[in-house]
Amino acid sequence: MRVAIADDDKEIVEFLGNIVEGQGHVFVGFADGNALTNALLRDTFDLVILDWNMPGKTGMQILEWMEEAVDDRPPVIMMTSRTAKQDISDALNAGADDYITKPEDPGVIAARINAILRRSSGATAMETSAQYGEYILDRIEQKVRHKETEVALTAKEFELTDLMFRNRDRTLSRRYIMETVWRTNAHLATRTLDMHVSRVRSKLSLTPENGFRIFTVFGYGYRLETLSNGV
Amino acid sequence: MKLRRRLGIEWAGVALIGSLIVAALIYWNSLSGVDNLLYDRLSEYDRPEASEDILIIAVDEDSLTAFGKWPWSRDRHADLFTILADAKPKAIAFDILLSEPGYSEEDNNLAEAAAQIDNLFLPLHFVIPGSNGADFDVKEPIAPLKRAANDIGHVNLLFDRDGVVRRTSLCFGGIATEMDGEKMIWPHLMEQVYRGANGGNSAAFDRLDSCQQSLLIPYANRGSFSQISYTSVVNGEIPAAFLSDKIILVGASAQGLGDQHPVPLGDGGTMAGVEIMANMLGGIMADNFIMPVSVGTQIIFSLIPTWILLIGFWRWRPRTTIFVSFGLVAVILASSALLLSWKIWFAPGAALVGLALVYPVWGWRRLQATSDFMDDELKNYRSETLDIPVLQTSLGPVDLVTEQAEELAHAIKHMRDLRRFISDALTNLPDPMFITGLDSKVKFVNKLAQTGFEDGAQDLALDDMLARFVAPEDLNEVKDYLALDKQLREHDYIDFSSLSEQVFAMRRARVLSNEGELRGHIHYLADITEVANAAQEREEVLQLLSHDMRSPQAAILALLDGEDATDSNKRIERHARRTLALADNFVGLARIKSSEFSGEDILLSDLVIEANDSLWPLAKQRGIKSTVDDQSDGAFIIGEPSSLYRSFVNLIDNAVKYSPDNSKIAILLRNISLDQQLFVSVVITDQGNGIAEDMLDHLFERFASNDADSKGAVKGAGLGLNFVAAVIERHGGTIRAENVRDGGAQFTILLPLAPEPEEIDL
Repeated sequence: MRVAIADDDKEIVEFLGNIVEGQGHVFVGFADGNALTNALLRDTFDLVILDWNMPGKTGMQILEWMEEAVDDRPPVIMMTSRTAKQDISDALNAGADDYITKPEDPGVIAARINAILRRSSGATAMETSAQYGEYILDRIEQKVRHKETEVALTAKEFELTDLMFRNRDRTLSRRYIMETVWRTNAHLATRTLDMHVSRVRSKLSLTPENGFRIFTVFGYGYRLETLSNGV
Repeated sequence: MKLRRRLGIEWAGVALIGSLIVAALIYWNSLSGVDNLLYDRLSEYDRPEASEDILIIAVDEDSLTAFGKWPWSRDRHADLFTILADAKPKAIAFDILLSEPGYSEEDNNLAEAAAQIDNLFLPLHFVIPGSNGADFDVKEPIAPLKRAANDIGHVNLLFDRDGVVRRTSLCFGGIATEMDGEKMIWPHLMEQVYRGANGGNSAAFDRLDSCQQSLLIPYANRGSFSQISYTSVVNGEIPAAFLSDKIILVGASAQGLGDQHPVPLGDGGTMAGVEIMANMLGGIMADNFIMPVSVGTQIIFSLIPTWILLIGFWRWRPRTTIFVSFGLVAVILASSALLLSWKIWFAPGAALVGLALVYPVWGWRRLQATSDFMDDELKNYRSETLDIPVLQTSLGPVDLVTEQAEELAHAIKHMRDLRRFISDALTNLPDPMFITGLDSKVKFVNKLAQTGFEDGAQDLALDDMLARFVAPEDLNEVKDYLALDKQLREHDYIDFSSLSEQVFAMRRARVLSNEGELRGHIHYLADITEVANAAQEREEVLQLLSHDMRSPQAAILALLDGEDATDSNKRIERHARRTLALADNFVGLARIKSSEFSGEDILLSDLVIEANDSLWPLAKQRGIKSTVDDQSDGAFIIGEPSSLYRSFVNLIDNAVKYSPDNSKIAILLRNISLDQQLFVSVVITDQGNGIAEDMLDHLFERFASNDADSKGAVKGAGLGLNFVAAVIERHGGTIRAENVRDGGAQFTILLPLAPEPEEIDL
């Protein structure tokens, strides 16, 4: 897979490039927004990693430009030092597929990149059962086993668990989760989702010790992260 | 309203009284003097020709000279009768009363002579009042004569109040149509003569409703009837042919005989009774009597001009009214004259008096009412407006109404000044504002809000005004705000950008009347462009700062990633992370101090767990076990997630920093109740050396750091706890730090519980 990395900081481009190559992909680095847009017009990439603050065009401008100018545009990960809640939700709502704040652990970045590429290369067929770390999901019985112990979940809790594991390392919007699990776009009480996520987290012990953590993207949604340095 | 009602009543009074007076004047014929005068004048223009069939044989001055003083011997009349009988005239009316018997020989001779005449008519007259209480006594001619005559008729004259003979009644006695034997009817002598000559009732007589109905005599000019002297007939000077085929009236015309009466010929002179008879006979024959209109008709038509004027008072200006009044006078007189030419008499006096009465009376009542009203209003105005200066008394005495008018003008001027003052004040308000009425139209725009409305914003619909002022992206929001009238609270406001890229804060206030009725809205606009720009700039600076401070650290960490984990590399990494934290805390602090609190529902337990999870790698490196014990039962708080998250990261990070390797950190969440208020408490306890006693009080101050004490093994960022304290305070919570008994620091945070939301079932 070809990954475009745009950042005006050479060190970062190199750092990210190492991670991408470590996953068996190739990368092209850009230090300037205009250079990236020119390349996007005549070259094909499977993923674009964008910095927000860049000379030429900013990350947000490139994102908007891509929405309009590029047919079948590749997925985009915004990667920036901006940490404000508003910035993150703005970028995701503008069409970014994920958002990573610098600095981030290389393992986490790798997992996130893989999550995006996994999705864009077509969803894998649904297995009747799947294993993620020490968690085994039985989709027929709708049961989860963790370290040989069966965990009792309600139907909605299982669906939420399944959805998050299948989309691990990917940021899911609250709306997406609501519509997928509850199959409604009605305006659910926001606390309902918070409570379900909380129960799944505690029932399944989704903690770093067990190699996973649930991360709340404030004002946007949730992400189930796999931790490379977990057990 | 008060004036309107008062004037209505006054008007009705004037109309009623005016109408009654007009009717009464007509009913009691009080204006006969005026009316007669007008009649005399108007009838001058239409005098009929005298009939040539009528001949007067007058006992004139010459006859008296020839035959000696009156009364003459009745033999002399017998001579006349003999001559006339031979001449065979159509009819003879002998207008000389012979009601007292004279010498019987003479009387017999006269009767014999009379019997010779075919158509002789003799007069009777009435003595009013009659003797023995009767209404009247009838004085007929002496019996032999009466027998000799064809018929007798009355010769009483009707005198108007001014003594002038204008009218006559064609009969005397009971009702003409009632053929009751008891009620005698005596036709007039001239009616009898007409019947004798023409063999039937005259047309005028047949039209009569009753004998009380009088008709106006159409006088011909004086002396226009043929007249010959008694002597000349008796002396045989007149040929018989001249007398035949004539209707002959015999009567006295000499001045000394007393049968002279004033007549309406405009010269003030008198006319002999016999000539008056001739005129009457002329009227009967030509059927050109003038018919006065009945009292009812007179009243109705006399009231019409008065009422035209009365109704006109409501609508017309006084000048129009006076013109109309004169016009009406002319119309009345012209109508009278026109009707007179059609032989109908409409007395215009009452109608004229009606106009003359109603006009000044109404003028007076109207002025009175207006004057009273002005007086009242001025009093009210003075009592309400304390600062109105008293009008300086003018030079010399003036008319009261003039004085009132001057005061009113003064009050109006004062009002105008006041209005201008208010309007100027509004127009020159330092902030833009505009006022809308209940119809959502703009009623007033001050100078500043006016800019951009070259054609004026007055009476513009509010929506149009907004469309020309507010930037399109904010338009709906502004409209939504303005639609919220019912729940409008005093301090609600809305920010929006204008088309000219200014930023405004708009507030809306209600305009209420004295009675509390909603009359419109005032919209104040405050230009907050600079404030908004400053806030924007500060935010940009903060973001830039955040970015520029974080980026190099991120680069350092990225560089270190590929290197061996040597001791110095580890130290470099630690310092880079400290700098990162410092930048985050600094920007976070600056941001919360410059922005308003905007909270959302947060499940606090999960936020704390995630903060703890994020520090897990750091803790794990040193074998520290940090666990969250959640007993909060899904407690939600209202908060700002980013700053709260950062706060708990700071606290747990601190705990990790000051904990010895392989120790434990306990984080406990519980619900507690304090002073009937529900809180979530978060207690973070480590097993470190605790906090230096002298630092406990200053722990949350800026740049306070435990590392001044030798106890601390790791250096803190200084800003971290300051940031935490600011965030917790911002959330209405408290934070307390203390040392636990067996060493180790304990931080207790209390945050108020969010209210329960409305339940929505899944």
